[in-house]
Amino acid sequence: MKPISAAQIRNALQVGFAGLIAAAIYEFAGLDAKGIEGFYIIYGVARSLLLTPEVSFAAARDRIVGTIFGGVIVALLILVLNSWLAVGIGYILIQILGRKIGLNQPTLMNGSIMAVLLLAVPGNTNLGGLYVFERTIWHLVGLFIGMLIERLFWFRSETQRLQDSEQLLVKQLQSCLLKAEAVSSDDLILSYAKHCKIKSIAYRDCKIDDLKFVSFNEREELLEIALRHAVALGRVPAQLRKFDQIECSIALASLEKLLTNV
Amino acid sequence: MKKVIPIAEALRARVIIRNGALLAFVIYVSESLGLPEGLYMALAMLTVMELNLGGGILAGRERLVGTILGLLAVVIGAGALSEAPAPLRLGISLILVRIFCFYFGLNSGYIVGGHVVSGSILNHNSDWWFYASWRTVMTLAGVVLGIWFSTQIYSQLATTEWEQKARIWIGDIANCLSKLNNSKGSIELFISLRNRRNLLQQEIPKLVCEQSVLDQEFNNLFWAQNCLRCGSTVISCCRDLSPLFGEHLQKPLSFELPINNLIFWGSAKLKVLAKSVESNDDEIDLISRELSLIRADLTRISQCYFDVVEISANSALALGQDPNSNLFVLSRLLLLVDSLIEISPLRSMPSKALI
Repeated sequence: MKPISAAQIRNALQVGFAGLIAAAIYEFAGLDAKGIEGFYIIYGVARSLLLTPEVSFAAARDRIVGTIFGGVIVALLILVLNSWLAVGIGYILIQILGRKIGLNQPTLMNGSIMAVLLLAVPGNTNLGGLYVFERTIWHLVGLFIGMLIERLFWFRSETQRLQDSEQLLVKQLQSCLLKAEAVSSDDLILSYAKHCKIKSIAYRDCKIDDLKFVSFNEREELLEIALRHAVALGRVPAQLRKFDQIECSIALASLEKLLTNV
Repeated sequence: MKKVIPIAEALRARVIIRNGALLAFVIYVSESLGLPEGLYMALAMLTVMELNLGGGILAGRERLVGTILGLLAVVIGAGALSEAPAPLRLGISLILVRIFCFYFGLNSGYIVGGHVVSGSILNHNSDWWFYASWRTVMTLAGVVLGIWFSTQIYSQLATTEWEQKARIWIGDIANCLSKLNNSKGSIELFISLRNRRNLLQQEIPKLVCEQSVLDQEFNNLFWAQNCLRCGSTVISCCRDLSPLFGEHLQKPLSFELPINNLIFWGSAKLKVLAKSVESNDDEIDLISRELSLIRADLTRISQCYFDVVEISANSALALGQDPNSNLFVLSRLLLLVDSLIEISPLRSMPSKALI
């Protein structure tokens, strides 16, 4: 059991709201929506709004590409073989061909699901390619609604998340200075790894300029120096901690000075 | 540097054929027996069997717990709020399923929980209890079957894959350490080693799950953690010391530091650990004895250094050296030798296929 954070509650509310809108669209479409696999709109919503917008986007892309790729292969397979045996053959074809063209594991998984859904449900088998089309379209609509809600409410950009993680790291480092055992070296390393991940996304999307901080690189350097010494603090023998304590506090003080000047 | 992990293509092909055959078989059995919502048994089994055993158990747990929590949310949303309009029921159920899943610490199970909610409320509005409850039962059966098949047929253990990666990582750390005295380590090399450490760290939960199912002792897990902690410390020490070496290293009060010995024996130990040969205990013992002697030497030097510094502080005698820099070198050398002594031999897990 884990205590629920404010961010998680916000996420749950976003999903609920996106689901409400998607279900309203489904209801508005009338009974015919069920006939054309309309309920997959909620599947799309449930698959969106994940941990970060990047994770949500990757999951959405994997779902759509996997559904189309697996769907096309199995729909073609049905034309020549339509039995439980085709599920296994379809799965093997999806895996082999998918790996050949370099699809990733989640995409292949989504493709493999199509082998089961198209062949294990007689209604879907009869629809064939039409089922693949309808499922894809409704998923896309649901995913779009989810991404829209993600953008509209409590949206945190890469740069904002980078600053949040920087502040969290600074707090952890300060706790380490007060008491070396306050945060374990492993936890510090983990926090920094997360920070680096967000940083790489911000760099990749060229969003660093948005920070409008000329001192960004300097801050990152100071943060890394402070972290190195804080990690060492938890590892070196007690009588040799003095140097790391001094260096960590100097780096943190310089960092805080930079942050207050911003 | 070669970073490609040699995963046998033949084994991968066998695993794909295994999964395909079992998938077809489960669909056949489910159709023959007329199992309600039997396709969810196949899907849950597939979720588990697509990955190695540890990863599959984690994924199966996420799917199963997510499905159960989805059922709970549907019972509240579709049962207790049956008079409310469908969009409202669905919205509330989706909120509940996320909250429940976060509370239970799931990382992805809320997606399948959301699917249970949407399938029940929109697609099976009139028979939601039948659909959601049978889906849950079939998911449970699929996860159990998937884990069982994964342990019995062409078993791919997360521990084996982890060990292969860890050996290559340790070997690269050994190379880095062996070149410490005559070249400045590039920052990219240290970042790469650190990133690989982080990737290995992320895999630890899979090892925990796997070991609990295989009913093995947790020695291998302790070994993995020891390997990560000590390897990580060696990287940090190399990174901190590399700018100081190869040029004029300041010797604390002209004490002769056993740096060359430390680098030689330390990298020798790491190279032995990186090999997949298991019967190298004698070699490890010999190297560990040498490292213990180096440690004793370094401890003696640091004690002498502290004594002199204390005397000079009391007598206002100038040391002519930066005491902080000396402290830094001594602390990193001690840390390095401690980690090299502490890092234990890699233990091989049973990796052979059972069929």
